Amino acid sequence: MHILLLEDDIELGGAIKHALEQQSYAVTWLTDGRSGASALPDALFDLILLDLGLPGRDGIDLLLEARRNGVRTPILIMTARDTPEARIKGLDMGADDYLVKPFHLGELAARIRSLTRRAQGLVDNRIEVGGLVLDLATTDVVFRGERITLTRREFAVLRILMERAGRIVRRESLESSVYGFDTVVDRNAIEVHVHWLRRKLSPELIHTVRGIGYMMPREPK
Amino acid sequence: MSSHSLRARLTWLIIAVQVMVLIPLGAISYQREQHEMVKLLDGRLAQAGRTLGTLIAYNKRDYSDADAERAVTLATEAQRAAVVVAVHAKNYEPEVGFQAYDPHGTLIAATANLADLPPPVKGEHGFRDIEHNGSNWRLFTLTNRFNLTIRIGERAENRADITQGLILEHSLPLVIGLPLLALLAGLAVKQGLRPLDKLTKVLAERAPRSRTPIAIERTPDEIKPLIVTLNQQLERLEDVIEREHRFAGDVAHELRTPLAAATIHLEGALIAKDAGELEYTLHNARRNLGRLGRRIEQILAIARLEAGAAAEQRTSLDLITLATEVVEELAPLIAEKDISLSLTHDEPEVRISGHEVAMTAMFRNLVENALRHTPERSRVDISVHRHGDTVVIDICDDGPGIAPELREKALSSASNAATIRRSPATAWVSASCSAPWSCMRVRSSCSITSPGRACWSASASPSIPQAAASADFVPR
Repeated sequence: MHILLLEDDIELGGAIKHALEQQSYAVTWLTDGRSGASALPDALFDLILLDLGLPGRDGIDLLLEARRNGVRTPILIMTARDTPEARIKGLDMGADDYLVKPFHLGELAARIRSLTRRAQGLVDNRIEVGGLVLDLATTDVVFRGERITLTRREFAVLRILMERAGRIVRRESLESSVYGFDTVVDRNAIEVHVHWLRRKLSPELIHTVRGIGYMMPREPK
Repeated sequence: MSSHSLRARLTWLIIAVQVMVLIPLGAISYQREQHEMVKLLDGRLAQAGRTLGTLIAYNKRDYSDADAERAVTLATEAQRAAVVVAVHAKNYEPEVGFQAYDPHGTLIAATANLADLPPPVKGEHGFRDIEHNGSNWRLFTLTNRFNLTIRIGERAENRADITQGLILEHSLPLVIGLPLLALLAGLAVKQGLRPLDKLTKVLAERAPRSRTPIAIERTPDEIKPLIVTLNQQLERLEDVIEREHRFAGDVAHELRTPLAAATIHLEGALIAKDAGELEYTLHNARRNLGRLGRRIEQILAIARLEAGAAAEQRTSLDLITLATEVVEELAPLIAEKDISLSLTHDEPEVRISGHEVAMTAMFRNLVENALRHTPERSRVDISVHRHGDTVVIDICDDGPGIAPELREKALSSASNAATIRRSPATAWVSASCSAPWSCMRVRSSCSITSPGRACWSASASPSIPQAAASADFVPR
C-alpha cells in the first residue's frame, strides 16, 4: 500500500515514514506544498497524510484543489490545529479524517486501516481469499489454518494481491506500493518476494501474467 | 442620585448657578427698592407738607367750631389757640400727623398725634427721625414763603410696613420660582441626558464577550468621539485577541510537532524487533524530546520577555557561536533539502548583549524559515559582521520573499518581516523574533536583493543603554 506523506517537519516526517514502513507500507514523503500539489493527482497513492502548515502552499488549499480536480484518494489531515472550527473546516473541505498532533502511532495506523477499509468496501481488518486470511491490524497471515511468518515486504506484496484478487496487478504498481518512489528497486525484487510467497504458501496461489504483472485468483486451488 | 451621577452633578450645578446669580441680584434689588421707597415716602411727606403750608396760608384760621371745642379739650394751655385736627384710630390717620406754626412761632394747627410735639428749634428744616410718645417718626420740617413753619410726620413702622410689603410682593416670585426652577432644571437635564441613558442601556444589554462595534447612528455629536474611541478600542482588542489566538495555535504547533515525533519513535521502540531498531527509535525519541524541551524554554523566554520580566536577564552573547549551534540543530532539514548553507563572519567572535534563549529562538526561526521556503538544492547565506558600532545580521535565501502587500505591514508592526512567509507559525515566529529585539535598538528590513533572492537584515547595537529599551524598527 502506497502512502503519500506531506509533512514539513523533518523529524516528525522521518518518524512517521519510518514507523509506517515498519508496518509494510510504502511511503513517499514530501516536505513542501508545491511538490505536494504536483504529486496529489497521482493515482498511484492509496492514501494521503496531509499536514496543514506546509511551506509554499497551505494544506487546506492543496486539499481543495485535489478534490476539485477529482482526486478520490482518502486524505487524512494531521495537524496541531485542534479547534472544533479547524476540524470542521478540514473535514468539510474534503478530508476523510482528522488527526490532531501529538498522536499515537497505533491510532494513526488504525485510522489508515479504517480509511483503506472504507475505500475498498471492507467491513473489518481481515482479507480472506480462499483459505488464506490476512489480518491488517495484527499483520497475521493464516493459510489453511496454519500461521505463516512473512517479512514486511512479502506481507505488503501479498496484501496488494489479496486486495485486488481476481485482477491483474502490474509490476510497477506493486513496486511503488511496496517500495514507494524514494527507494531504488532492483528489477527482480518483486519476483523474489513472489517466489518466497509461493514457497511459504502455495505455488498455485499467485499467477504470473508475463510482461504485465501478477494475479491472485478469487478462488485459488 | 449618586454623587458620581452626571445628571445630579449637572442639576446641582445649574441650581447652584441660579442661586449664586439670583440671590445677590435679589439682595441688590432689595436694597435699591428700600432706598427708592424711602425716597418715595419722603417725597410724599414733603409734598404733603408743602401742600398743607400753602392751604393754611390761604385759609388762615378758617376752622369749624367743633374743631375749636375739641382743641379746648385736647390741647394744652399753650396750644389752646391752635387748631387741633383729630385723627381716626381705625384708618391710617394715626400714622401721619402735622404741626403748623405762624411766622411768630405760634402753633396754629396740628393733628392730635403730633399736637404735643415740642416746637421746632430755630433753623430746623428737612427730614429727621425722632421718637415721640414711644413711636418712631419720620419728620419733615419746612418754612414756606408765607413764613409758616410746617412739620409733617409719618410713623416709621408704617413706612417700614409699606416698604416690606412692596419688597415682599416683588420677592415672592423669586422665592417660589427658585425651587420650581430647580425642579425644571432637573427635568431638563434628565431629558438632555437621555442619549446617555440610551447608550448606558445599550452597553448594559451587550453580551459580556461581545466585541461588535457600538452603533453610532443617532448619537449626539458630543458622545460620538467617545463611541468612535470605544469602537477603535474594541477593534484593537479584537486584533489582540486574534493575535493571541493565532500565537496560542502556533505555540501548540511548535510543541505538538516534536512531541508527536517523540511519541511515534517511542512507540516504535516498544514494538522494535531488533536492537538496531530499538536504538534508532530511542535515539530519535531522545532527540525530539530535547527539541521539545528547547521549544518550551524558548516559549517561556519569549513570554517572559514580552511580559518585561526578563529584560534584565541579558548576557554577553557571541552571535557566531549562537548561529553555529542553530545551524547544527537544523542539520537534518539542511540535509533533507540538500541546501548549500554558508555562515560568514569577519571576526571569530561578534558579541552583543541579549537574552540567550530568546536570541537562539529568533535565530533558529529565521534560519529555519529561510530553509523551509527556499527550494531544494538552493542556497541560504547567513552573515554576521560589524558595521561601525553596530552588528549586522543578514539571512538570504532563494525563496520568494514577502509579498509586497505584506512587507510594509510586516516592517511597521515591529514584527519580523522574514517570518511572514511562513504559514504555520507566523505569530509564534513573529513574537520570537520581535521579543529579543524589543530590548534593543534594532534596524530591520526585508528586501529582494536580486531576482529570486530574498534577504532579511537586522542591525543591533552591541551594548545597549537602558534608555533604549524599546522597539525601534526602521526600514533600511
